[in-house]
Amino acid sequence: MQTNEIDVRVREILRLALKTDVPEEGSYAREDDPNWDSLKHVEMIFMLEDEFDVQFAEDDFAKMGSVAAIVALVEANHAA
Amino acid sequence: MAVQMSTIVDQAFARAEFQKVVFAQAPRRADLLRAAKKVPTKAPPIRLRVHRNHPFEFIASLLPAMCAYDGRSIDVEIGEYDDSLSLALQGRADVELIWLDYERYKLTPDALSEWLKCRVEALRGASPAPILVADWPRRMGGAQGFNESLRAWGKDVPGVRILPLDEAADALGDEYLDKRMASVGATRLSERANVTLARLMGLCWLPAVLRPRLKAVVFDLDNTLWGGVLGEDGQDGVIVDQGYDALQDKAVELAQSGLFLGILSRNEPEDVEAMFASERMTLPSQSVSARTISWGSKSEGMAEIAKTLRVGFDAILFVDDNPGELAAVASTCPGIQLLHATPDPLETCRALEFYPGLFTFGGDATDALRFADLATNDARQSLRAQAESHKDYLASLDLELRVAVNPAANRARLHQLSQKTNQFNLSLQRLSETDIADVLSASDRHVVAIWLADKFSESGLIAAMFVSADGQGMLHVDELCVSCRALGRGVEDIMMVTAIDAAAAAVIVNGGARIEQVRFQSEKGPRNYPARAWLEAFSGQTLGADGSVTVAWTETPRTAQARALPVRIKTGEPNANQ
Repeated sequence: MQTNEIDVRVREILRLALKTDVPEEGSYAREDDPNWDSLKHVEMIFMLEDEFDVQFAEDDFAKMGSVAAIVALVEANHAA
Repeated sequence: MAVQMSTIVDQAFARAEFQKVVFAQAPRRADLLRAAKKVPTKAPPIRLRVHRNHPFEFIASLLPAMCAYDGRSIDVEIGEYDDSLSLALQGRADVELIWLDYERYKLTPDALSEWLKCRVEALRGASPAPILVADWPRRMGGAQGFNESLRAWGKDVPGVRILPLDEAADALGDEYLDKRMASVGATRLSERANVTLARLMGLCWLPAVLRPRLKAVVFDLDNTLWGGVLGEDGQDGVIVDQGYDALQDKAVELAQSGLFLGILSRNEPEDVEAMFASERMTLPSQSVSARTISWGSKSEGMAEIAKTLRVGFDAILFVDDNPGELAAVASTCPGIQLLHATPDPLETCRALEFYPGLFTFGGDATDALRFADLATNDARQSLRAQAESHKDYLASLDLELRVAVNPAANRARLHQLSQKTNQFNLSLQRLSETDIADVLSASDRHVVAIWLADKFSESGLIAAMFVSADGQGMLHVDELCVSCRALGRGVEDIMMVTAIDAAAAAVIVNGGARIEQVRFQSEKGPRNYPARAWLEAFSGQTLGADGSVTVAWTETPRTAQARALPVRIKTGEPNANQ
């Protein structure tokens, strides 16, 4: 799967999970969005795991604080 | 009409699409949230108030999608984490939910159950809404005894239902928990568990406490209960594989849980009869209470089935593989529920597991009575045809009426009568179990229950009259509900006369005045014309603008005629809970 495609799908998941207007491109991080609390973070992880058919390690949960970081983790999980 | 039909067709197709997501083997959160956006919901929303000591949010966020499939929206009010269950209540809720992680408590299972009972009773006193209590989703150690204890006292507190999380946990096995989430989300539930529990909550548990259960499931046959077309493929050519076996088993299970089964199919009746007689069918013919097998329209066939079963369209779920047929039936049978049978019978099977309005929290003794009544209707009709008069007909039935005032052990059935009756429900008050418990314990209000039996069957508790006295000789009939099973035998008058006599006696026993007048209150609803028409005929008056009518409680030709009918009258509750 191409990085661009992962990026588009991650942003769509974030829109659904955070119920917020995540931009189609550019950086987007947890500190940009007051809706992105720990509960929404868990829902986002649930949806990302379903969407990309991956299982993130517990240590990765805290690293998933931006679109770029999530895309990198999805790619790493797919590569593994 | 064309616009209306196209709207119905659009809705039928939209629901069929949503169905794929909601009833998937493992629904996905993102798919549910996407699909729910496309479905309109009815106001007002269900108000669910959650008393908890661990996260409910991951389930709550899925409930709007689940409820949307049921055409409802939902507002979930989640309280603070509170092990003590202090029950801070503000405003009204439609449903109260107690959502506790019992692993957090240091009490013994017995002591924990006792403590919880006290808190639930306190909540019962503070809120009239149904109370759902999650059980301990574990079957090992003390949890099993705790759950048994919960279910035992849960029956005694009005309006309490115990949620079988232990069954969901059993079904998911190791997938029920996801320990990775404890550090980041303070939850140990896996996503599979969240989605499973949200589906049960939104489609099964909430509908079960918020509205009457559906009464019948009507199946198409070709490409629904079996694969292929009987008329073209023949008895040996249609497919009844493991999937269709499972679906037919599911139909049997629904019948055993108290629902009527119907068959509505375009086929040759002889072919269908032969198919049911063959060893290929898991669903036995005798499990089907009504059938229309013909080449006529399915709308007409459905009307025949509803008439045979004596149920309204809104109490029927129709299952068919053809969305066009579903839409056509929906356009002429207002309120009917629709389920699209997909090419995968296991998917249809799963949909029937979760379809809103099919789930029930417990077996209902009246279900068996309903089947017996229906099964013996033909015999009654035959007697009626032979009898020379109505009086002869009743005499041949060997009818017995039994009345009891404030029969507390029958609270659940009285609640059912108030909630489920439509045609003979005079004021449509739809009393909650808590309302009924209040009446049962009051001295100035009473409920008179009526049981009916004839030589063919025990109909059980079939009518309830809720009354209050004003202390000056006036008896107010606040609500009157009669099961449709009891109608059609021409005993409405004697039932009411007997009930009013019993109520009047109860008023005097409680220190009230002798009843000289009876005031009936009625409310016009979409389907209670039979009750209001009976009241006008019985009182000999036209109902007032407020729906009420007052009669002097003296013997009239009509009451005398009723008392002269050959019906045995007995008093007191029957020994068995009928």
